[in-house]
Amino acid sequence: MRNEGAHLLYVPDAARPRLFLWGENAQQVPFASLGQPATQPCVLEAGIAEDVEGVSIDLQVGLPALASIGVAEASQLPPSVAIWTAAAKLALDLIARGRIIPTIEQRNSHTEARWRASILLGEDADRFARLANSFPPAAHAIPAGASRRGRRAGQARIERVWTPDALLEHFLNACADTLMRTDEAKRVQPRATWEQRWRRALHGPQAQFSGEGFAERLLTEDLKAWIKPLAGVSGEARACFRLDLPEVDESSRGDDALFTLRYFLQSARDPSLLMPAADVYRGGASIRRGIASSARSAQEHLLAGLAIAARLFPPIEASLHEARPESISMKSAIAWEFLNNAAPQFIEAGLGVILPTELTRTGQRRLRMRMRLSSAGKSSASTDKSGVEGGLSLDTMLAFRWQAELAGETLTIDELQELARLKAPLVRHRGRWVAVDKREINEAIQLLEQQGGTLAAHEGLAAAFGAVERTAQTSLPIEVAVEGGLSDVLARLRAAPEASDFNVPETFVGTLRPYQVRGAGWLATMSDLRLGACLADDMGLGKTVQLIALLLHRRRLGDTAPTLLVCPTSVVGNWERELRRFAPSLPFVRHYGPQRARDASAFGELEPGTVVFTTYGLLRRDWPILSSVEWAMAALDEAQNIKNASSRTAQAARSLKAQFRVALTGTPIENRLAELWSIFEFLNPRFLGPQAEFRRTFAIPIERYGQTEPAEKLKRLTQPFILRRLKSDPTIIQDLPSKQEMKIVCSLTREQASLYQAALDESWSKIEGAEGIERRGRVLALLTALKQICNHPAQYLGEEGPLAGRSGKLQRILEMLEEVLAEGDRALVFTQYREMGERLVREFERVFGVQVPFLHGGVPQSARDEMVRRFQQEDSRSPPIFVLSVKAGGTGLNLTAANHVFHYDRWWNPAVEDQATDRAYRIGQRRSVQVHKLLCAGTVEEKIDELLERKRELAESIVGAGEQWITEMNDQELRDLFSLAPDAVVSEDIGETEAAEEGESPHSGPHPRGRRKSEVPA
Amino acid sequence: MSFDGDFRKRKRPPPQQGIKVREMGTTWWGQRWIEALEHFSRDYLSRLGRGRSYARTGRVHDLKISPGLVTAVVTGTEEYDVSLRMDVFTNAEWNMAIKIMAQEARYAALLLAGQMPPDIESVFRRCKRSLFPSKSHDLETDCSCPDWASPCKHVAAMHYVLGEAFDRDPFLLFELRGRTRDQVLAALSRLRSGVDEVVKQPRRQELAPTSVEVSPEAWAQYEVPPVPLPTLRFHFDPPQTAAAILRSLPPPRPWSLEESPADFLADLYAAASERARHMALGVPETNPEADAPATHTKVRRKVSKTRS
Repeated sequence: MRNEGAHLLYVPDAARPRLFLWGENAQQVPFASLGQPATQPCVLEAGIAEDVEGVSIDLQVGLPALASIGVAEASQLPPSVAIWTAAAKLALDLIARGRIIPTIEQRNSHTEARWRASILLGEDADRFARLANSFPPAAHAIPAGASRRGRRAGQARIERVWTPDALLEHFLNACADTLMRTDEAKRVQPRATWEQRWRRALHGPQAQFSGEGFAERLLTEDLKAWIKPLAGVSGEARACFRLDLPEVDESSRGDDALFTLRYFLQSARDPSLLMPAADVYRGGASIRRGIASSARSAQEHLLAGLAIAARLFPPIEASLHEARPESISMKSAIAWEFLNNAAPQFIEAGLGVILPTELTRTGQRRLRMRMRLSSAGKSSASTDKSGVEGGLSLDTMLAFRWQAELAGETLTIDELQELARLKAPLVRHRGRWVAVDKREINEAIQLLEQQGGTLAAHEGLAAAFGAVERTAQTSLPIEVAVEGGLSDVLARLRAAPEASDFNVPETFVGTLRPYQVRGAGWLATMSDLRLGACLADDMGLGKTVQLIALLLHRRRLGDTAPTLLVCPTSVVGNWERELRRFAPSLPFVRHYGPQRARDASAFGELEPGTVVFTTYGLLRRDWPILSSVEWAMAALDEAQNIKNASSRTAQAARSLKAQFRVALTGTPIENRLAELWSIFEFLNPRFLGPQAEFRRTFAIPIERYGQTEPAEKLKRLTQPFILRRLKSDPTIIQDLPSKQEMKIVCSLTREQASLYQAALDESWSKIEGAEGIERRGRVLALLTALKQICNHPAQYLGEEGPLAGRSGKLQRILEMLEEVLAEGDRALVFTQYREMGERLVREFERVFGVQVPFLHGGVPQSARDEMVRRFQQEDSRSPPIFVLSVKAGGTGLNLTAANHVFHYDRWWNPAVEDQATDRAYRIGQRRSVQVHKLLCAGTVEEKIDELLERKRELAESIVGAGEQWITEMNDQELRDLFSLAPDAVVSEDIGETEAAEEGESPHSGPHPRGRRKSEVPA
Repeated sequence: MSFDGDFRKRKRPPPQQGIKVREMGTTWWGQRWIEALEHFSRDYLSRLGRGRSYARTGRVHDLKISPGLVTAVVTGTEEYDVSLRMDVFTNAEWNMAIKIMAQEARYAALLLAGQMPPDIESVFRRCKRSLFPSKSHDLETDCSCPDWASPCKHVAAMHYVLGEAFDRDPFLLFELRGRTRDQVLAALSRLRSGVDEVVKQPRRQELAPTSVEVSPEAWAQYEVPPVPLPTLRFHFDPPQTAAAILRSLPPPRPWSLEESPADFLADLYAAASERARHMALGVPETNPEADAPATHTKVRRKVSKTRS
């Protein structure tokens, strides 16, 4: 959606707090459907207040909808919408953390019990301020009457609006109040105490409560006074308490040393601004240092904080008998009490606390456990037949032993027991202060006595990758160290992406680029280690050839079991072509079509190392057969097909048995966490934990809240298993030609194939009988018809109906464009046919939700210029896809913003195609340009292409005249050229048919064969 | 039965604006105030009882407290004007008391927290004064009613109402003796820092403006944030104990339950925290459309119809 045309407001109506969404594109905002049409006065861009039409969404419904919008999605929404999504998240954060307070308010003639947000703590005040400072006008355009100044001066009326602060505070309060209420509040006796009636009014549906029998007015004041220290948005400064370690000489054990708790005044806005209490009492300086507005208020902030602190931690009270208290001294037992119990309460009460970091729970001078991991464990998998030295399958077990560590030193059980005998928990240990809690020591001793144990390799690896701070075995913080063979394995794993010592099999026909050699080598290492690998290189970097090199490598090593390769129907043809070209020695069989194997035994009789091709649709359908085979390798091409882990496709993929699993994908899976999990669950089962837990600990914090810590942790976990090189990577660019041309071989759908055959049958007899101009005309007409059918049945039939799922070419270009868009690239799409161009535009706009310009002969010059200008603009809002007709757009234009060029249909004239390609590939182009020429397998398109490939010189000399040369062919030649190869169709329909099947309710497992209503008749 | 001259006339009903006392003397300082009255008027205990019931039924209104003087109107058979006079301390006396209080930070700390320091009397005793009335002639009362007793029930009623007012705001006692809270705190601050700061009292935060004039420059950028939208951190961790926020406060004045307010409301806090966490971290119900495996559906912007 566009960054404009929709605005979101919060309407601060205490009786019915609600959101108001308006603007011409309001309906495109994801939660618009939750609202009802409404009218709301609002101050418009012109500064005047007017009633506008829009939708009103009750806060109760709107709050969860707003909060569930992820950061990436929010950044695509208008800022007034985005800012309220952040506000909703802040509200939920405050409520979850209990930063809310109950109170009573007098409204008109009655009394209400209400909840309020407390924006007292430093972090809350900071978030509140940053949010309020970013409010665009549209987000707080709630009229608050006209300004008096304007009226007096007789000028135009000057509107007033709610300030962002006031509106945001009202919103947070309303959210707190909304979320606290349920319908289940217990009834109370009529003679119940006011407290009971207040409680009911605080969480029941009715906020109003009757104050019979006493004066509510006074109660209201009392409660306001009670809650005042916690209410509203925090003040300028607060008292802060810093615990300092005693200074003792090295030899002392320090049992009687005194810790000091020092008092400071801390700025609420900038917690790094600290002023010692002595300076606060001296006065004056506080104003200069910007902590408090006056010396007196500085003192009073500090003293009021001291009064609260003394309630929570009585030792402070003694210091308050001084005129100017600055600190207290205390023995280590009291300091421990402060460290462990009082400090968290101080923070809750809005006081500042600074602790020596090494003594906090995760600090260095606290006891921690070191887990020493080694690969001495035994394999638990009965299917383990890998003879490879140093292999590490994730279903093996790893051994570990424990070490206790304190301040960087290893402790024995005896030393721990000696520490436990000390009476104080804060002690000097080898010249340094350490914190030793008796409970922690006992736990450590217990662990040491158990010595160690075994751990599933997937847990151990996760720990070794530094993504684990805790384990189920202990509540103590842990560290992981890797030793022995396991550390060699990890070193190999780390070095693998850069290693260039891979020996490309001699059976590979062709040359791999240097980064492709490294990629194939990485795959080889991963397959040696038996760790599932995801090759996620950018589109066009040649994932296919790297996998083919790996297939040859495994065969060279003597793998005899077959390999299963699953790919989308639309690329089966492409795979076969690439395999024939680069690995002619590699046997392959197709597992699709009516001739496919009907039971697993067929796979036992294959030549060693045979590649079995199948499609995702057939994987889903034939999984009982496919999962009963022991594959050497299971490879998924376009692995985003299993992005939905609960889909039957993904379940079927996970049911495959293979020694090594590999996934190829061109989409940046690290940003699509559900997809990442599903692919990992296929590659390395259980490595990322159960899906629900993964969502809770990674997907939601990262996607919804943009949190960086879990993102980094996830990256550490997954990085060793993913190899992703970008075209823009300097080390890749040098290996890449500035222009790369690729043929994209697509498959026909059954509809396309039958139309093709029918068109052929109908025309053939007429062509055979015709001669001269008539014959030439008929041949050209047939050629056009067949090309139209290859493009799309709807183009041939002149239909306006839905396009999805009917054309292999369309399906393939959509898949490829998705990758282009995901990488933030832009593409030109050329077609010869205006009717096809229009259909492409419609489909691209529908699928990608972007505007797609179409430049064709009917577009006036000024509009053409505007299209080109907008496309070339360096602006995220420029259209990412540009459709052009070859005739109108093939010459003259400068479209270097694109680095992908698609030729949707072929002109059979390299000069014309190159000229079109040169719109992007020309001076001013700074990136490598990828040219994708689409053609349909087994059709006239592929045959002409092969013919031209074989006879380059012919192409140069003859083809210059366009398609005329075809008409000169004799009957036999024409028959060969036009006829449809028997394997042109891949057994099933593609595209949205698959989507529809997946859309059914989830099943416990893949469907058994024969129950499917869409079963293909054999 | 006492004769107080109005048994033949009907009493007027208590007026709307009457101050209904519920509990008086819940703080030690309020208690001290009431004790003083009861101590001086043993002879007229019955009038105290009536005064108490007047105070409870809201017959006292228009209470005004100023240095040395309290006035109120009490509605009985008629409306009676009631007044109470106390000595205002001299500047010298106040200065000395403040000097004593400045020697220990806890006085200011407690006063700032709305509490009367428990040994406040000793401070004034050292100045040869008493904050609370100590002898009967410290209190000079007057009432326009025909009752000859002193105190009459109207005076007693006002006294009880005052006791409750003091419970709520101990600084009213200071005000009656000639200094406002602010004056006392400012003087303490001056002594502490030794600086005579001329403070223009900043307008209280409650008065921060809630509305602002629309400026044409800002509004021309209708959908542009003045500073880029911040990336905020969220963690949604519930506190270790529910309602922890309330535990730093003493119970509110009228609190009558054994349980603390925090314990009394803890389950509501815990339930709301759970709801918020579920909403924040829960997974919205799966949209069957989102199941589609076709690669391109990811990019399609759909209008979500599921209610999460």
